[in-house]
Amino acid sequence: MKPYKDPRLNKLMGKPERVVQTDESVALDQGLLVKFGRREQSRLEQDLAARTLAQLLVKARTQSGLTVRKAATLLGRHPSRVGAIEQGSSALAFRTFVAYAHSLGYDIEIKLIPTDPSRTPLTAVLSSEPSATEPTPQTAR
Amino acid sequence: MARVFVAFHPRRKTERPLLYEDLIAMNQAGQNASVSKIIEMIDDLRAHGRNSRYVKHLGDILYELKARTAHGGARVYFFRLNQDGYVLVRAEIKQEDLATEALLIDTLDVAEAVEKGTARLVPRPRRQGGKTR
Repeated sequence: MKPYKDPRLNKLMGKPERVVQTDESVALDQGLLVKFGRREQSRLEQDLAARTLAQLLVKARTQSGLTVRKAATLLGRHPSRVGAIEQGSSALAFRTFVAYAHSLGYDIEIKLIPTDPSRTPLTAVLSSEPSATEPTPQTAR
Repeated sequence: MARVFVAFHPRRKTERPLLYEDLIAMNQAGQNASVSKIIEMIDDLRAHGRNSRYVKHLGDILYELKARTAHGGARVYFFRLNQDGYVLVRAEIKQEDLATEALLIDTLDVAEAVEKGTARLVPRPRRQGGKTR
């Protein structure tokens, strides 16, 4: 049975290993390949983390029933800046994230979940009220 | 230490390398744990090359990195390039065992373009400050 529609794939499957041998500098110069070193990977991870936070903010604004323009007024920023925040700019400052969440009517709970199960998680609440709580250990995960 | 690359498709115009597009889509679908697993597999490939425990040979030039996650099988399709080079092309999360054909074909397309040196230069939008391509 041939599992794939493309005959090229069925022909390749099960064949012995082969390494592509070529002058890789050509593909790099042509922009087909990009080196993916640790620095590039770190940028990607930062970008993905920023997008995750941005998605959270978009959900919070939607839940609040606010438009970008109204949210920008509450935050005291230009709507284009709020738009950039919601696009997941990796340059998003933590204080901007906190300020935007507060302006949308949300407190922030930060939870550090240990990879070692013998340790207890730590949480802190960044409240929009002046007195934020100190990190407190939780008894259960 | 292995050298790792990501790739653009030789004929399709995308803003970022194909692997980035896949990881961003997974992230948006809430599959963050799977994205983390894929990053872990790439780190392992960089450290151990062909001997990485996640590497599985599919046939001829095609390989995959594969691990089980809460969302299904996390897979990255790639080919080997010269001495210690690994070109990561596409990634997916899949419940079924059979890889998605379109992603394997993309991997073949990139490998053929690199091998023949016939890849054409695809104009891409200018890089924006602070954002990955």
